[in-house]
Amino acid sequence: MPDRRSPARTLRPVLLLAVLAVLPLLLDSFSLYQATMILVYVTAIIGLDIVFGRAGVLSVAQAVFIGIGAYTAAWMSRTTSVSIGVELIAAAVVAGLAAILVGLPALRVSGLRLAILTFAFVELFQWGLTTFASVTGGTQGLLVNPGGFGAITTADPLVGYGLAAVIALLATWLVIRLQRNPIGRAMAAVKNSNLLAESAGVSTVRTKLIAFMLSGMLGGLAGVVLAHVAGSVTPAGFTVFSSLNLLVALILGGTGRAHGAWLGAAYVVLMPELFARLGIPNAYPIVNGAVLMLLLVVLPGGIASVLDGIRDRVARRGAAPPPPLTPAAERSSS
Amino acid sequence: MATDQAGPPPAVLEVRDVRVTVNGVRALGGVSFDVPEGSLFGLIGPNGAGKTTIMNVISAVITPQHGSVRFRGRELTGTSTVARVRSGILRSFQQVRLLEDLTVLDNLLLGRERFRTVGLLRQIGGSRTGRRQARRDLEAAQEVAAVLGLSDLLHRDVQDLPFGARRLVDVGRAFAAEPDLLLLDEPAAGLDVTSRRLLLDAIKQAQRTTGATVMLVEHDVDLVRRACEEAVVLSNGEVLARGTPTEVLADPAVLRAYFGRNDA
Repeated sequence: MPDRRSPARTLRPVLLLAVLAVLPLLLDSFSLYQATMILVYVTAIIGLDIVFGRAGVLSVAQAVFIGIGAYTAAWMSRTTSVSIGVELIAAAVVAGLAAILVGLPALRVSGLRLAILTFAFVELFQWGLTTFASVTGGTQGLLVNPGGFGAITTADPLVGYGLAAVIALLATWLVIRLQRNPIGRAMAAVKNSNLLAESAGVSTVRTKLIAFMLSGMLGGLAGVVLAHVAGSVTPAGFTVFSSLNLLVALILGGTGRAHGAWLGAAYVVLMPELFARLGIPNAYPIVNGAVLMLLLVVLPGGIASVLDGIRDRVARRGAAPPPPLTPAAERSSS
Repeated sequence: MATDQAGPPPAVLEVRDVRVTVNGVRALGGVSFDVPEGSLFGLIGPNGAGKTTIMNVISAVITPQHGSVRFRGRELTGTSTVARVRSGILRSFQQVRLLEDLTVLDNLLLGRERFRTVGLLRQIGGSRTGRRQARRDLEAAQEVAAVLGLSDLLHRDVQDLPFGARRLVDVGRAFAAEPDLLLLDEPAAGLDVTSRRLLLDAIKQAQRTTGATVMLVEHDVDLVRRACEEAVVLSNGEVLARGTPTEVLADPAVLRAYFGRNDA
């Protein structure tokens, strides 16, 4: 394939890296915590975007995968002395396997019925967390011992921030790779219709399970960072409302676009804080609902679609007009 | 080299006594025909004749209650759509189905899915095998695009294309899969006369280039007469006539089914 990478596309990741590197120098401790939470959300939302935005499978189980990652990290930090790297691998594997299990009904049902089935998994997870209290700490949850690599531990907020940034960047790289990759095209085909996918030779079973697995693994990784940054885990953090919040963030930001997850994450973390600072915290849910309704009607592609529109207009300015749409059969015969 | 002694080309597809009933209504009542290797074969009939139903049977979208479908002598009954695609049977749809958010190239590359052998990690991480396969896929897609006249549009989003070009992309995806047997379900539906002719030329050119056997399902008899070497006429779920397009279109039974005329 000819390399169509524009200077702007090369510059974008460099710019992102620069901003992420400089940000901690400019922020106070609370703002740094918020920035870390945005990065945690980015990873979790990208996971949801893979299954919902790319493969078109409506799932409200993302909170379960984050919860599995968070509880795996909490439990391992209390019972073992392994590095956080091992926790991340374990969480990704366990959450990925759980996601495959959650994804199995997707092979039979779809749409709202599947969403309800994934909701059942969230409820089952909640039941498990409160029932097996000897492992999970019940409704009180678990405190998380700081983890890290040797002397560098998550007790230092900068380490938590760095870890969240690295994982969010990895998740972004993954989802960009998927975009122009056979597996990404297979997901797009499954999202379009099973009939189109299968008629092109795409295994819908394999594709949906891969989408769920990747979604679960990213959720698990986000959960590990969340546990270490928050310092504790409780069942209240992983309810169906947490999943819906991620879904709202994804839709607001824009599905199927890597930067949609970043925009959505920034929105759901910063907006409540903004309203709190304005002294009207109770207005947030009302405004949030109105914004969501407005966006769904006016901008179904989310905030990211506005940026994409501006980018496309700038790119078109001065560019050669597109070729005529004459079928070549006509051209070749002339 | 063909000689006078050479018999007819072997059948790439053998459909035998296929019967399908949908919700108590008979859609196919014992349909049998052969599709010769390398031919552009027409399947025609008025609306409701069962043309799309037989396409769906061949591509395993629906399972017949009775009968068999053999591809290169191998029984297909019980195999899935994906398995049939992997063995070389591709199809297009009456309604254009495309990956709307993606480019023409992406849509053509989707057709290469049947050759996918590289695992997930290698696909995402990149590997020598994956890169080799990607190169092959790209060459095949570019070749098909050149034949169908889509080369200039490869990086355009399909949602921005006019209907005729979208049709070509739909057909191109199937040709990019290097099919042994390609089922085209009313590919010219919704096109004006000029566009139909252009599309037909493009299909014939692509068929010559790839050597695929093409089964063209149409209700436009004129299109089939100009394109196909052999045709089968379906009416009310049964085979009404078979032969060259000129022969079948002169058949009184076909004239009755199509035009309500008794004269030849």
